[in-house]
Amino acid sequence: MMPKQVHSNDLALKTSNLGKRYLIASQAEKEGIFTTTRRLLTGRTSRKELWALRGVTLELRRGEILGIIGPNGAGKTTLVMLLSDILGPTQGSVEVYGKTSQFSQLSSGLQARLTVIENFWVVAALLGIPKRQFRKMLPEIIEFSGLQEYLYAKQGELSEGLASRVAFSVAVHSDLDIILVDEMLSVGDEVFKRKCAEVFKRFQEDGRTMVIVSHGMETIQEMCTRCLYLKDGKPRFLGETREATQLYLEDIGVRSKPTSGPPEQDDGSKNEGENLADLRRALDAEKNELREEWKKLNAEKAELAAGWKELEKARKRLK
Amino acid sequence: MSFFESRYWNLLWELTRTDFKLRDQGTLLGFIWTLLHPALMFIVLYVLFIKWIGSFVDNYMAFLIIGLVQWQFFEKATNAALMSLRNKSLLIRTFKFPREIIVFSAVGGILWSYLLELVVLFLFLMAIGISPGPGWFLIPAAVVVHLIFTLGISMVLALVALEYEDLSRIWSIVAQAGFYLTPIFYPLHIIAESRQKYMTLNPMLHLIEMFRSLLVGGSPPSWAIIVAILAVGIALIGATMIIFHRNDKWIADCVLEQ
Repeated sequence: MMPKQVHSNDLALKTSNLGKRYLIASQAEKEGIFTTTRRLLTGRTSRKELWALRGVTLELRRGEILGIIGPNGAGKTTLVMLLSDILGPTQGSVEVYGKTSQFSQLSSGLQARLTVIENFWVVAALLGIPKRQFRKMLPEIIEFSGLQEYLYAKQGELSEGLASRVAFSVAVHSDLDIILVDEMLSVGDEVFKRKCAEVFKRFQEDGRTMVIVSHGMETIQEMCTRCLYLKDGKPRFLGETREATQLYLEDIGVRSKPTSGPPEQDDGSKNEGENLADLRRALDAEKNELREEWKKLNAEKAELAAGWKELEKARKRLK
Repeated sequence: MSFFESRYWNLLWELTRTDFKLRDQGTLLGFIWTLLHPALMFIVLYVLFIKWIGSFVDNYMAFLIIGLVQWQFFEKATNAALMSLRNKSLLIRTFKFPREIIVFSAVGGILWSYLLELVVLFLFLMAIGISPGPGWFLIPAAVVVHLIFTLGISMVLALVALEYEDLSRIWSIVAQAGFYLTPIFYPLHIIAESRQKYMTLNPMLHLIEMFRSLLVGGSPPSWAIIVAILAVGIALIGATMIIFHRNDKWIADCVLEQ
């Protein structure tokens, strides 16, 4: 599917009620010839559904930098893959207005046995940059990556932090309208991070859009104009970056100190009542979650009991 | 997103080059293996069968090596294509591009060494006293037919192997059987007449016969059959490309699930 080219509109991307379901193997049964045939014939499967992402509705305007935070398994990477049009949604829709691509730590392993310079060319080809144009851009890209000393080393010989710079350096110099960065800045050192921050600022001025997934709350707070906090595949909070990160830190039991915020934030603006309200909201949410978990566990218990009965029957038959 | 955009040709070129470069890297002889493998295979078969089959065919040396080079292109290309999508899962889950390029480049990497083998083959034939005839000028066309047929089969295999990994095991046995069932190191006429008609159902037989007749003369293949093989190849490529385009998300899902 070709991303729609709409230039007059300042909307960069839009999702509505976006959801993605995977089928994951349940422990009890391995996928073999019998189960596969059954799945094809009857559609029955022992694999259970896992909603990696559900009900994400968001709109992103050009020039915005959206942060995505949340614990492991919250659906961050799935969301990025949906936005980059690599996975298709099970539910809802994604509309992306412009050229986009994602960059993750994974791209550090591009072609491990090729040299760094060869990998630059491969990435350029993957991003569809014409050769002649890329040849002109290359010196600047190498400069940005800081990999001058490693150009003829094998990609696989580089450290993870250095290796992940290859694809990303090409990306920021390409004509992508929307850049999706999945947990990659965290492996960069301070110098590289600072370079990135500068580039991001320039992007913003150019009206380009970025989505950054990170566990680094400082990175998120520094760079993002808005933030989406995902939890168990569902959007827990979408809005102001500071609020989102604070909520996340509270959820995982780290009380953020009031001094950790940017200095321009007036800490006195939040009175005790609001703090209490925040706390209550968090507690309510947790209660709801626990309740849901309880339901899930009960369902699982019933399933296990059923399985046990069948086993017993089988044992009797064997006897 | 159409494969025919120029930027995808560039990508195909880059990935093909990568495939070709990486294949023999890490081995001591490196690139030489590309040519050494068919040469060694030729020597083994020649020594084994010259006494027995040599009397049935004029110029058994040429007969054998032409068949071997053609067969090995088919076998290596289909094997490379079979697991190509899974092997390149990283690219699939990171970048957006027509997925068939991965299969094309896997076959393309093999095509490079095949073309090199052909050059060596020409030199070899001339060295053993076969002078180039007018048929040699048709070799590029014959290569195109062979490539299209092989690519068609490769695309189908790559697609099926996404869902059924077992196919790679099955295919290695099929290919092994194919090697013995195709007149590569023996001529068709030593087979009992009644069985010959079954053997002629094998498209590879006709492709190899075509190369043999173009390079050293002998009974030309039925051109109608060659055209039919070409048509099948084109149809398979066309159909699989449509499937690839309509299901690019499904391919990503398959690759993620593994």
